[in-house]
Amino acid sequence: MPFTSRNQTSAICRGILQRARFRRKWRSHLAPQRALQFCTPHRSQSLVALICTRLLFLFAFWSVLFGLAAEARQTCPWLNEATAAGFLDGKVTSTVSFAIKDKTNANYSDTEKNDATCEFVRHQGSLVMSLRIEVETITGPSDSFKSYLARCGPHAAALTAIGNEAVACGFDGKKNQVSEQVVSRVRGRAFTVRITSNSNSSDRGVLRDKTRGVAEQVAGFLF
Amino acid sequence: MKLQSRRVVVATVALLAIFCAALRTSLARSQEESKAQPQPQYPAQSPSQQESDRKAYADKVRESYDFRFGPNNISIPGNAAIEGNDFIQPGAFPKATYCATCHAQAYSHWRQALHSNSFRTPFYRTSVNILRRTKGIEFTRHCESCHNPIAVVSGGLTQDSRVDRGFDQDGLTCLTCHAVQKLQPTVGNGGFILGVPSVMVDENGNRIPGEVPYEQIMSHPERHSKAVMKDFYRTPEFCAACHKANLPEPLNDYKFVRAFTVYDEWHNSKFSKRNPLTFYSADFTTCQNCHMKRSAPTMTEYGAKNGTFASHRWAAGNTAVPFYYGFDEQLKKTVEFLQTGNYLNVDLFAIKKQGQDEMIAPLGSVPFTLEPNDTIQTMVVIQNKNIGHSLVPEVRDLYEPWVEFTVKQSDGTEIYHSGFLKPDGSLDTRAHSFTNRPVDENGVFVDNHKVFTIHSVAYDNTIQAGRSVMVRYEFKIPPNAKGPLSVTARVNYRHLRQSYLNNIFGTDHPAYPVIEIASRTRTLNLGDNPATEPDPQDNPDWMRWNNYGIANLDQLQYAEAVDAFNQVVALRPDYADGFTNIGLTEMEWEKYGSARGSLHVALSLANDNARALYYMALVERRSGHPDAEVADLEKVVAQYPLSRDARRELGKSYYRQGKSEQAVQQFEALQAIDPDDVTAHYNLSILYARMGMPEKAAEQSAQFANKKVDPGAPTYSLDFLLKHPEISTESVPWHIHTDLSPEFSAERPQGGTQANGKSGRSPNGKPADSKPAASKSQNAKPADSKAGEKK
Repeated sequence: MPFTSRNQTSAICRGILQRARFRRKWRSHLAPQRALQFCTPHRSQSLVALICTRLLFLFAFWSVLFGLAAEARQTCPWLNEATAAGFLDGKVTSTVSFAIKDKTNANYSDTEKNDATCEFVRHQGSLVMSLRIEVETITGPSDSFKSYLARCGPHAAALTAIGNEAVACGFDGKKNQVSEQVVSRVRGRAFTVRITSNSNSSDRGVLRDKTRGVAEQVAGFLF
Repeated sequence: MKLQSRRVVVATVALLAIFCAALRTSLARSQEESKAQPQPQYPAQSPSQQESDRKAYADKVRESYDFRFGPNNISIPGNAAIEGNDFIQPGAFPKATYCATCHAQAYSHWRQALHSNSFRTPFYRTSVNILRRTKGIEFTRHCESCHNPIAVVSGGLTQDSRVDRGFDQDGLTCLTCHAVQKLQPTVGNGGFILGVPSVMVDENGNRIPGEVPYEQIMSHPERHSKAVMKDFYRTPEFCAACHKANLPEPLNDYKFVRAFTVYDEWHNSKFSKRNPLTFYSADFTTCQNCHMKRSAPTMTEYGAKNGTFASHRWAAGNTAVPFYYGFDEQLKKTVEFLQTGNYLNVDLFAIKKQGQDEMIAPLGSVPFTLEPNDTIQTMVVIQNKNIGHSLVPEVRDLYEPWVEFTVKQSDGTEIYHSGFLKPDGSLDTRAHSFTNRPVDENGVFVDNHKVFTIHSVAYDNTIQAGRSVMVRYEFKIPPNAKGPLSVTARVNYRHLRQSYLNNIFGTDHPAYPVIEIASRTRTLNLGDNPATEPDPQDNPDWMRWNNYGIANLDQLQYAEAVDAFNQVVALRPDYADGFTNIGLTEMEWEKYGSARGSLHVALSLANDNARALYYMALVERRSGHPDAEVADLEKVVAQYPLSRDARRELGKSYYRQGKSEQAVQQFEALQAIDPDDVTAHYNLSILYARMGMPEKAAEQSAQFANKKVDPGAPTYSLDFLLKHPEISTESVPWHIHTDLSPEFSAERPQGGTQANGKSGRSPNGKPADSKPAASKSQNAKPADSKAGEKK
């Protein structure tokens, strides 16, 4: 149904503008301006035009959002993508999530503000390999760390030369998933490194070595 | 309308196309980045291909590399360099596992050795992480030039580096040492120049980069050898590239501060044969001769020659790394190395009863009696007999050698114990340790090896190669003592001191190994003590006296030193060095007339003896005989062209005589031996200016200003010593260790360091309880008279 009124278009544009403003004020800084360029009374009144206009706007909005997000993308504090790629034998994508979002919060120590979880994923055909690193500040090393050790269960193997202390374990997951994990501690910070592959044909020994290698990198960084 | 719709559709399609294009570009860039990342395997390739790949990689790294210390300089504040002065792919360095196929023995040694673990250990990471967190990763190029040179030359030491750090675990891998093509002047901090790593050369001698197939190497082993071995790898200068270090101004924002200089210590030792001034002599021995001893390989090793292969364990003093990693074989070899017994000699040399002037020495060779209630001062002489450098040569703020001294009754109960470990693992604060205390600009001990904050060293105690130290212990025999008493002095070594281990791990870590390097026990009877047979490890009596004399000389106790050296020449009248030692001591004592006599005797016993000539030249200078002075020094330089002392003094002599060109020649020669010699910088700055070379003069002047000791530095040390009386006592050359009460100490004749940490030195710098002057002069005079007789 064709649009017959310039006011209707204006209403739609206003809606878009408002949503854009309210959704992410700081991120959509450019979006309203772009939207203004397109949402003028001289634009097409047709449905196609409306859809295209909205598509264009959404496209512009997400482009801006994507760009800003990429700009502010955080890197893993303990392992860069290249090194992770070396361990996973191929190009990876990564995400980082910090436990404390507000770095200015005086209630947390600098180490706590740096606590984070990093995830590196490598896709190659149907093969998916992931590397997860989790670092957390613990209050009393000897007490709190016991709960971390429990992540490896009773059959964990004690490791030497990684952090203050470390254990390793492997486990099978759903859909042919295999994982190798190291749980370790450097002074008052506990960390877990886990490499998972969705192929149960993966060499467990190789995965184990890789997990240990990453754990050593992380420990080295935390010392 | 239709037209407008079309326009919108077209615009949408166009934008989608742009988006797709952008996405594709982005992906392509990612792939490119991925290509720039090093690959795990690096097959052999042509030099031109390698060059082209390297350029592409370097261009990529350069885009984001922080050249904060100057354009195109990739390693400052370190000195590591690579041919082409540009970044290189880390994958260009063949993996150690590649080498292991044919060099299994070398690999097995190396994997447990310090060199392969030069970067990854917690002991190192804790320190370098502080620098990274405090000042930024760019500053770590100083440390990594030696600890992880691949990280430096691959451009990995910059914010948000995209370099795969998989090589970290291999530290100094095979092709970091075996790719060194040239050495820089011996300034250290990574003073080498790497080539593009290559394990083979072609028929024309061109280096082939990458991992060449084994068959090719096996068919031309000589080409492999040509690529990976250089004659200079066997020289101490090769080791000097990293076993000499300073803290440069770009690192500390202060000035040049010497960190350590093992190479120079070796250069000054008897083992270099380059220094005529050593107390003893020995065969020429390099770093490699001690730390890379040859033995029959037990594994595949194509590098073996005549059935032996040079150890790639580099056994030395680090027990912490093999202990942490569970490298039992390396730990065993390290302990064996430390305990070979050749390195240190511990001598319970003498005792002295309170209230008696006579010293009972050498113990074991003279009879004496002891009674309950006697207060005994024991003189322990520790000789650095066969180490080619000081004890310990590097990082004395972390490594911990010390003297443990015990006196036990027959039932095992202790009468006295110095140098014990406290329950928390820390060392007795009043122990005699061979450690140092670097301080920052606030006079606070620089804990955690934050070297970039060091401004001064408040206390620095060691035993230089070939020299001896004396440690005095005082104890009282209880009235109801159960004899015989067992007196033991031992030198222990711990890698690392407890507080640093606590900094690394927190306090909940296992106790790190304490190794006894050398010890000596003597049994003292309550009552008569007849002379006894010496132990096989004991030095002959003349050498015991000589070492006691050397220790007194270094403690500025000239009278006692002369007495001791007189005992030496009495036992060995043919020993020219004994007379030189007397002459040297008298020179230090500013008794030039006596010194001349003693040196004449030395020269009459050993004609043109370089050591005696050197000191005689200084006596001639003092006497205003410049021609004789120059003649003597020229003879010394002719015998020892690499003697830095002789070159320095001859340069000064020429300078005084107005012979500028000859002086410049000597100072330049000195600078070639030691590029950091401040005397050379100072004099060359003046001489170049006089000779119309203002640019060179300015360069030397700037170097001098940067390297000379900061005259304000002692202030920082004094601040520290004021707050730490126990270290203040140790920093005084002459002091006594005792746990007798201060009241008792006050009852003693004046002098000696008391238990409360006060130094008992008299204003002239000598202990007030030394022998009466008449007695001393009687002992000193025969040296002159003997000298006169010999003349």
